[in-house]
Amino acid sequence: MVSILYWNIAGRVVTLQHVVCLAQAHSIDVFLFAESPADLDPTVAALNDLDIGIYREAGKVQPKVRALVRLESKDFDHLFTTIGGETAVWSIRAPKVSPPEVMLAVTHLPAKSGGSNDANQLAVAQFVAAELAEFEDLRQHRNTVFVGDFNMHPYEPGMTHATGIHGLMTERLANMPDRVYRKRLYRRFYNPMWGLFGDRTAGPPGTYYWRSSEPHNPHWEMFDQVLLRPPLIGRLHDLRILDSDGVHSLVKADRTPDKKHMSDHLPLLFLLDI
Amino acid sequence: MAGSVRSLWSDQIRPNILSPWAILQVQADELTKITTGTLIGDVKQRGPDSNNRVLLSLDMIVPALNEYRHRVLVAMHDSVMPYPVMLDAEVFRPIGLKAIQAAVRLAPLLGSEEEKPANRADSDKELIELVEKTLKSPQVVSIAQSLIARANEVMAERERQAQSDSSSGRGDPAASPSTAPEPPVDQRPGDRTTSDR
Repeated sequence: MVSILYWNIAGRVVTLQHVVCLAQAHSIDVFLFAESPADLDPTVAALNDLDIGIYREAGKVQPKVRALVRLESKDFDHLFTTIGGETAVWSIRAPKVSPPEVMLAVTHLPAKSGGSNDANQLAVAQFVAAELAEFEDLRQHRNTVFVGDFNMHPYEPGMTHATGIHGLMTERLANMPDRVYRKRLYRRFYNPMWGLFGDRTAGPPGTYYWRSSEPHNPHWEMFDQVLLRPPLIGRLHDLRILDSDGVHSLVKADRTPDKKHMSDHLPLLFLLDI
Repeated sequence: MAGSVRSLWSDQIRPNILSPWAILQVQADELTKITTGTLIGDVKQRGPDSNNRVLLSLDMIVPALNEYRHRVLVAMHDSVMPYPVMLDAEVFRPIGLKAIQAAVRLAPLLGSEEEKPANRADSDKELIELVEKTLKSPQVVSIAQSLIARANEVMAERERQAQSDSSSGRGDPAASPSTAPEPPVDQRPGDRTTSDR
């Protein structure tokens, strides 16, 4: 089992203080940090003081989302980085799947703040999805997990459109053959984040809370997401938005992220049986 | 009278126009040549996509680092007309206040431009200028330098290992570098490794 935690740190060093507790509570193999503070050495040192493995920052260059891992280099290898480090693809050795590799694609896509809109985000999503498909073809398999802060809800056009990320809410939809659109084929992702919305689930209602008087405001946003290609759907063994690091709460009394003591995003934890 | 009228055609209309593919392919080959193969330049074409665009990507591949691939730029043009071509590269992506002002880098692709974007080339001459700006940008230079330095370290380590094996009689002196055991490429000297898997 490989445990992976994705967290948009929001550039706040104080957020990293929770990492040690998270590593202990959840036995994390791979930490993925978006908007990471520049210096991760103290965090690596603190993790290694736990004596639960030797953590290091992995990477052949420094992508936008940085990776601290305790897997050996042969088990976790940096394969590909797109322009500006926006998306990085890692290879995880995966003896239980065929071929024995899972590609972990990690991204942080542009936000709506600053004037971007659905159409702009869809355009970016189309490029990202096409690059990922191209890289899958190079590796000759589709054992891909795609995780990141997409700055979109699972239901927004960039996430659902056939030419975009094409993330679908049920396994049945995701397992259908590639979609034909305008005589071209578009592969699908399963997006399990649909199942984590709202307060009738065990965890928090989303990964980010938007405090705004805008009339159209879902308040809780599901910007941080993990998606899987069909061959890996059955390999997802746990998926949780965390509201605690195992010792300290990450949320305030109203259950929104405790921005005074950490990021404005909550971490996303998932386990892969690969 | 006709002979006294000069040509009114643009000086960019000439017989030896290069396609975006040809321009990028030359640069890919040049990268391989100037680094003596430590970095391999690779151009790939995909599309046309649902918007009838062809996308050309220029990547750096590092054979010594398990074929690690780093994308340098992407050029996009209509499937029928190679020009104008839009270039996406880190150097053209606005940051900070410029990012807010620009709203999004792809706006010109969506047909909303009011003035010519800095990353659009209407001719091969303009594209060559944009590609040169990209390849000489600090971002690309830093990445290339870093990858070459790391590749050199790995190759030196492999050589040391091969010599050590050879002198101890454990290895096959004739073994090629590709058959030598590979040191972990993103492991720092002195690192220990562990695995709970």
